[in-house]
Amino acid sequence: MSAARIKADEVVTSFGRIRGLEIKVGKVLVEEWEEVCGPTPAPGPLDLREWDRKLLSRYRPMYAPFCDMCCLCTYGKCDLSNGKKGACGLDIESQQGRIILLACCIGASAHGAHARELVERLVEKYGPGHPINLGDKIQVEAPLVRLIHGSKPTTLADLLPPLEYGERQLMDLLSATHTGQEGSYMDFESKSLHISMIDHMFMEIADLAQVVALPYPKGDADAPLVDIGLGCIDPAKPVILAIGHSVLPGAEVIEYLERNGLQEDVEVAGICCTALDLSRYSKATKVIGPLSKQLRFIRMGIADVIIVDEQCVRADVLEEAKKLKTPVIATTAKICYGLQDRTNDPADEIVRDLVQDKAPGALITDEAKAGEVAVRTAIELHKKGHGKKLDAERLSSMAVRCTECEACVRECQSNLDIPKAMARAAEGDFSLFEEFYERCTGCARCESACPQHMPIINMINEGASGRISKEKFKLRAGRGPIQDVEIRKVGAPIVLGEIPGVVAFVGCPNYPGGYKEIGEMARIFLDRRYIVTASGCSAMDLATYADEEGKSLYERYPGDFDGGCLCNVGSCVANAHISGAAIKVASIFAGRRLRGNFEEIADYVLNRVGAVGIAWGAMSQKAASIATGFNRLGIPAIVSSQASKYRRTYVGRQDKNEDWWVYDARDGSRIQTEPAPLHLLYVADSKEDAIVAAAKLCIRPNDTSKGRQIKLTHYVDLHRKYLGSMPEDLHLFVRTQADIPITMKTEILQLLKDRNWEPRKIPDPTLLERLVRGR
Amino acid sequence: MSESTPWFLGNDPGHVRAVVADADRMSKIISRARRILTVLGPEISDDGAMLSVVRAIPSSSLVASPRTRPLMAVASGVKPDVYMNVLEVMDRLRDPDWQGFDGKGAYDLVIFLGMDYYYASQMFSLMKHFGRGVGTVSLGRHYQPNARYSFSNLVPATWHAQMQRLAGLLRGEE
Repeated sequence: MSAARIKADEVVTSFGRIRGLEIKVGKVLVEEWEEVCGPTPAPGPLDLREWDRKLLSRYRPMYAPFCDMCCLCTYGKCDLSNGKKGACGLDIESQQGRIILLACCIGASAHGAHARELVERLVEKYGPGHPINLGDKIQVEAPLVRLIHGSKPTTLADLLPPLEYGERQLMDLLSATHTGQEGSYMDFESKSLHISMIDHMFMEIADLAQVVALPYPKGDADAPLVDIGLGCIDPAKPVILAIGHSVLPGAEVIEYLERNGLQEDVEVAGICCTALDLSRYSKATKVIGPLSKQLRFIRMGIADVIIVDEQCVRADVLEEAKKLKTPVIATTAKICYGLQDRTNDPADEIVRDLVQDKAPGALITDEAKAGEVAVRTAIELHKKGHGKKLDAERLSSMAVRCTECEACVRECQSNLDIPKAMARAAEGDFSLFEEFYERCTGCARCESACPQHMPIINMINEGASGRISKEKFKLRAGRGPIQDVEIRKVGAPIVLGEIPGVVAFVGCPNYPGGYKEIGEMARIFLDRRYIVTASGCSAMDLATYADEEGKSLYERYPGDFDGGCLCNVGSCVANAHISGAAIKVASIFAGRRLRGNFEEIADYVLNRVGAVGIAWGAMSQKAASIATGFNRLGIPAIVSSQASKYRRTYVGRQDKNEDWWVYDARDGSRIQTEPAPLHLLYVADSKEDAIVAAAKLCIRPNDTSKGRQIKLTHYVDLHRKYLGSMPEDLHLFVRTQADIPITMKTEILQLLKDRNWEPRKIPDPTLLERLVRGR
Repeated sequence: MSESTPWFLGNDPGHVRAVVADADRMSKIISRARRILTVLGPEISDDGAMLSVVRAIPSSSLVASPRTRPLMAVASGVKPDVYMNVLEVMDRLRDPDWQGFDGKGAYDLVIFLGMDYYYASQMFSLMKHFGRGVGTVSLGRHYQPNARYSFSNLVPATWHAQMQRLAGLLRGEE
């Protein structure tokens, strides 16, 4: 029921006379959900603080500051080195906690604002009563909203109250970063965990809204295979490139093409999560790849029009596009690039100005109009022709100017020997630049630093031109949520350890050793029948890893949520379906109540669900909040050495026995357990370290002996193969002899004997005393 | 640029920066230390200069990234006491109660070799702020501002020569 107002000048009742009565009712929630609510519906920053402290006492935050200074207020700069405090009283440790909270708030705000825009636009288009219907196979439609907010959304409009709740939390938590507020690093961390939990709810709201309103796959394991790669674009057709994270403008391009029968005549291509979501919307979409491909593709000069929406879009897209006279259409208030707001101008006038190069682009916040302008402009400009890319001859003549000053190398985080490649290019040989193709993350800091203004990205493109034209792979479109029936099937094997784990490849493309590393890692776990999931830029890069037959991983492995399957959930916001799956295991398989019951479910996941995330190229603030949100739910994340620049890790100490205990829920006894999972946020030294760490971080105290045998088999085998030895900590993970893998029994028994190992009890594990039965 | 300009120009932490040292000074710093922990990162190679320095350092404990185990198996005279991820090593170093890998007490000097520049920089920063005063030395080719002592930015041939000289000095050769 919506708002109501009752007003009476005078009311006579049996208990007296009331004058000037006025009653206002803001909103009435009709309660149709019978599940008993847990202790923390719509929790505030303090409601889960005790859970955070449990986690943080075991996984102690460890900081590696980027900078010794604080530059956030005019008392400063404050130098926080050598134990000094800033003018506000903060020391370096608390300042790092504050920076982490700020990063997590930024990340959550990006998803929250995206969710707000999607929900409002879709309510406007499809009505507030549009049902949240994911089909018969998905009844637990919004596990995070149920768990955190305590509500069960049945329509698009029902997504607004949890969104409002999350926005309020974001405001409170961001305010804690202001000068003169929080002073404890532990409380900054608790707040980071809180807003990152909210971030997962924001992501769920965003993706759920688009999945139910738009013609996306709705949890379909056999979502269509779509084209991905720089070489899958037909340059003979007009090309519209969409960059960012919102499906709305690109969807309007596709609708305009379909309405006008032009869908075969124009290529719609995408970069980053916009591409992933457009491929869910229409399988005709060509996915270029992750955000690292932005400059490369723009410089290729194939795009006739570029549309940008929000998040992870380079700040210099307009500047770059201008060089090739490619118009840019900005479509949201988040990215305007200084362009004139043409939203209320007639489409004819905007198209004319763009085609005649009277303006470098336009801000058009009406997506339908932006779609029309993009298509018409692309068709006209393609006929007319516009800027050309630099050819090999020109690039070679430019390379001669290189003075080998190494300014480029000093900016390159991949440490590429650009001067050497430049010397070869000056002789017309771009082969070294081709070698850089996989390891270059496309940031272009090298170009910015070059005193000779060398177009290094173009040179890499030139070197790799042969392979770029053949770069055509298949990506399975993001399927969205995991089905309840799938959870019923895999719930027991996951919790008992018989499926060795769930490995999620998430995050951005800032890889230390090139993008192929995640493909190699994923294949290892797929072949070992782990459940492998993917999202965002990682989901795209996994598609570019081809096997011996040239098949992409998506062609080789089914898209189910099951052992040995590769399940692409979708764009960044679809990460919520991975945390949602862990929650659903607790709910659907174990029958734990979800509603407002975060702590119990997180305790369940931490102790029983062997899941781990690998964010190998994590770069953004969103990746920080996504990982931290997984961590609060008890799911560890592994990042690469580049991500040590996030400045904070959550690491456990397996040599501290006192850290590793649980209550046995059967009798309340407090018992020693294995260090599992050992870390919550771990920086792997190398790909090999990450592979072994992932297998180890899937071990959970609740594993049955059969499950533990399977997990240890993989841990030992991977350790031997990639690190060249038997794990030295194996004895910590063997509880009884029944845990020992049969094929390794003799060797492991000897190892246990050498370590004075003794058997111990297998608990029904929990960190929450209130969950001990009978209490 | 001065010799204490960070190799990656953006990696400027503030005014507390590593003292630039050459092989001679490094040798004195290392020789003065009582308990040295040498950390070999995942980028360690079979470069003769690197391993000859590792052999010459009077380390109380030598810890190597697990990834280096195959190389260590064939590197004569280099036998790590422990294979451990660098982050886990750092976690122990910040613990005031930790008595070292050999249980004989805290280290007073930590030497890093064979780590990716950015990663090493972050680990040096961690030690600078939370390392309880333990000294740190970078033997990489590029200036590491967050270490306590570092080479300046060296071209490969100069770095190689400096490492050879350091190895000689540590072995007592002039």
